[in-house]
Amino acid sequence: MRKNGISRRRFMKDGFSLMSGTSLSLRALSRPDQDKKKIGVSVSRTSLKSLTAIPTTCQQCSAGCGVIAYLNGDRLVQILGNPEHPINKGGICAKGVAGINLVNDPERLLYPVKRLGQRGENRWSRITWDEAYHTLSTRVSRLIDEEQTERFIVDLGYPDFILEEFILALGQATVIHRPYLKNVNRSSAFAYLTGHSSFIPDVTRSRTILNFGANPFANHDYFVGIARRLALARIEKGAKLITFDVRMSETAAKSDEWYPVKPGTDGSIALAMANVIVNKGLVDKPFLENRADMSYEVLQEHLSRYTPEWTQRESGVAAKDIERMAIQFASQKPSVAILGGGAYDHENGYQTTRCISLLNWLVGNVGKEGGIFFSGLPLSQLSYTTKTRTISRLKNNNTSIDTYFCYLSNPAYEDPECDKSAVLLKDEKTTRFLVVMDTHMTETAMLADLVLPAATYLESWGVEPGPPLDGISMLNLRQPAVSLLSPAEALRSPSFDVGKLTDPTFQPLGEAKEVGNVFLKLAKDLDGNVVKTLPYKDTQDYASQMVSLATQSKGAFQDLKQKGFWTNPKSNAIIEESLAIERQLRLPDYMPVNYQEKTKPNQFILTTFKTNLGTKGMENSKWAREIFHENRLWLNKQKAAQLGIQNGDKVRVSSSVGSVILHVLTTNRIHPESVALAEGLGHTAFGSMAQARKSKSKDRDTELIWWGKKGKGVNPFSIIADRVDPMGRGLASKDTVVHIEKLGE
Amino acid sequence: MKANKKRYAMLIDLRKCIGCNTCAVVCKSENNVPLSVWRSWVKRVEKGTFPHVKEYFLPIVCNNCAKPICVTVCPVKASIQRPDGIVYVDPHRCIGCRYCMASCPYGVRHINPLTKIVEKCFWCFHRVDAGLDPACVLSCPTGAIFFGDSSDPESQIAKALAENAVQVIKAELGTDPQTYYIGLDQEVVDTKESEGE
Repeated sequence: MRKNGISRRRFMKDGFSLMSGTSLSLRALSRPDQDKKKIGVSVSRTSLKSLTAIPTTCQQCSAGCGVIAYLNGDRLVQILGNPEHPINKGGICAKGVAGINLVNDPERLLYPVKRLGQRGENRWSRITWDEAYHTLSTRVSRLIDEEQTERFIVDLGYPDFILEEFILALGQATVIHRPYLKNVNRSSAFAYLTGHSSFIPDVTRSRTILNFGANPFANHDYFVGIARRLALARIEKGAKLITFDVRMSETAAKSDEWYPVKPGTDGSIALAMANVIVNKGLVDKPFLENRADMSYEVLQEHLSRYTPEWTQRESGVAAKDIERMAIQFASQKPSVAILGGGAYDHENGYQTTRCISLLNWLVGNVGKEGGIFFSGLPLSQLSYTTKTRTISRLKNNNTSIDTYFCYLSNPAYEDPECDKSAVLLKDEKTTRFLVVMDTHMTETAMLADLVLPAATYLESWGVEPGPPLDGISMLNLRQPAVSLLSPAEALRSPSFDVGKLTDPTFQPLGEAKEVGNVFLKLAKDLDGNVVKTLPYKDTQDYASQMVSLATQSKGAFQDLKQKGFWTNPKSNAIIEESLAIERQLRLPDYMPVNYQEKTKPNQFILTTFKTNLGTKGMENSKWAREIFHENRLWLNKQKAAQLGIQNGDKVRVSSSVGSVILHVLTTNRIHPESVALAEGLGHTAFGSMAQARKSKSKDRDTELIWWGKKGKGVNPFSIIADRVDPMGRGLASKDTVVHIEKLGE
Repeated sequence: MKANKKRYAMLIDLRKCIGCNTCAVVCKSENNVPLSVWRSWVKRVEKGTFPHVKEYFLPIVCNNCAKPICVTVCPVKASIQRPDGIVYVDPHRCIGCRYCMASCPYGVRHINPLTKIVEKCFWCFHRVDAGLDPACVLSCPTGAIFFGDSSDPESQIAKALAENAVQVIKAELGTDPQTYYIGLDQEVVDTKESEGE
């Protein structure tokens, strides 16, 4: 199990000295000094007093932005960007700000509960943590005794490193690692080509940027960090941004050119551009021959069939445009090609990733200013043990499920064909025991036997390497801004100020716990080998040990608590070897996606997209739902006219797995062969905001919900077929064929 | 004497706006704005026909006009223009009569559904007076919003206003708006928002 990937401890110990920083001269990339404004300070709007500032790291996505949590007394009142942080420089996104909704949500899950009655009946009995620990440790220890730990299924929606170490120590637990699965078509292709799972595009210094199906202006692995750099490159340095996407994303809207492509054909565009670059002799030959070990003649021969005229028929992008853009890409350097789910969430996603990567090799931009460099960040060890993706696939593999544990994951909502997953999770013969640990009552939690309240990231300790944008390798600290102590625990704590109990702002947040602490306690209760490999007192101790390992300094942890992050002073030391493409390139081919069910004019290929406010953790956020609560079906305007459908009409959208009823948005911003639907809505659980239903609570905003008439939206995953890319083994979630049928009022 | 001449202004570079709603949400958080009303929002407009189509994002805040109609019409003098130009509503004077809302050509004022008095964007003057930027200025992920004293020629905003072609919304009304834009398309101002996304 340990043969692939490096352990997290080892990475922390050695990784930072090996990390592929760059020798590029790094000019500070900040907004010009804002007339010497104070930083890291905020004031109360009413009392004008300075607020307590706690620097920490956002966890609303994987971008690793530094944020500052501001407290008035003990109450979290605001989250703003950390102006000193090298990734986001004070910028933040809407969901980063709305993180406060997660903590202060009156409908948050705060106590452990167990099921009464049948599964899904929504009747619960509050229990103690002791009972919850006992239940879990009894089940796990029996599996250990019977040597059946593979029947312990861990479904991880967000990586937690103590939990991961626990699973590794346990031996054979089955893991569904969602952060890894999300991009596996891309990361497996990239790992094959380079030995690295991902790359960082140095867009700040690029002159030409080709974007295949990514939407860094709304949702991206490095969201704010990359959006900021792209916007600066375009506006202040005149870089050209060209986007290929079936729909006009926010990024496409802010690109110099947008090409609506037929779904699944991005690879053909990349190959045709490669063909032009090779035939015009614009290839970086020394790079190709010395670093990529590729023969020019073989390349020319291989690409000869992929002409611009051919891709015009395949993708719909005009041959003359392909030729012009290819020449620009290879001559207006530095240039870089980036890609996103729009390109690789298809059955040919693995090959498409390779086709697009080829463009980067051809212009020799690896390790160069304005090109790409490798993040050096390791994939989680666990990701390599992820063999399957959904409970129905587990069942097909004859895995008998004893205990299914979800942490911040919601298979009954987010799996493709989620209704099928929900049925299997509900069935006691398939799933003997279902445990959900989350901040809210999710759709999956509604079916569970045991539901545990999870601490939010604003109440947790954690430490993780930040994405080394600009080549700066760095470490991010996550520390609690809000105390989770119950009044009884608080009184026992020596550091606690008893006077706070009479302070009206003091609001103990129930009994939520950090998942790391739960598994440390479990390891102790199991008292076998597991505990020996987890030498941490608690999550804070873990964070402190990791910081000492990475920084090789004892005092560093105190510094990090003050600043929230640490930059590696050695990060400018370039390690040439780590930038070299390690393996000989095999040349990629274009494989058309099979859409053979699509035969009629009212059939379309369904694409889904994430908005900035439709992500995990934002389901019941009042500010997110107020802006984004309706997902109409995007349908091309001309196409709609041909079908006699008007803007706002009600339609039934059906695929091979199910159907939903919703309203149409007719728009010019989508390819006529495709329809688009935003993710993140249509919840049947969570709370008032997610369900657009007024209620009374201690937050008066729940009485002011005004979008109830428009409904709560629909969940695209209930009609998305569980298809995979056979080579990348990742989701092909943008390949579902649907048909549309107009309904009367 | 210089302090008296202070004149705040805001500049939004629409070329850098990515329509992410951060300004709208951080305003709710900073100013405790309840659901159903907004002091700051992003208008989205689609123009053109497939495939020659564009989408525009237009963040709206109060213009804090140099010649504010809302201040003139208020029967109880609750709408006040500070010497530095910021226009605000004194919550202790406001009687919720909505004359100011009717008079504002920009629709940036609203009745707070809980307190029943009028509120608006006042460029977070509690932050500005403490030497901080307004919340949306600090938070904008792409750094598209600028704020400062436009009467000080050395300030960043004065330089940006001098160096760029800038526009305001509805200049013809003579209200002299002090929220400036780079790349403002008049048609986008006049077009109704695209709905239902």
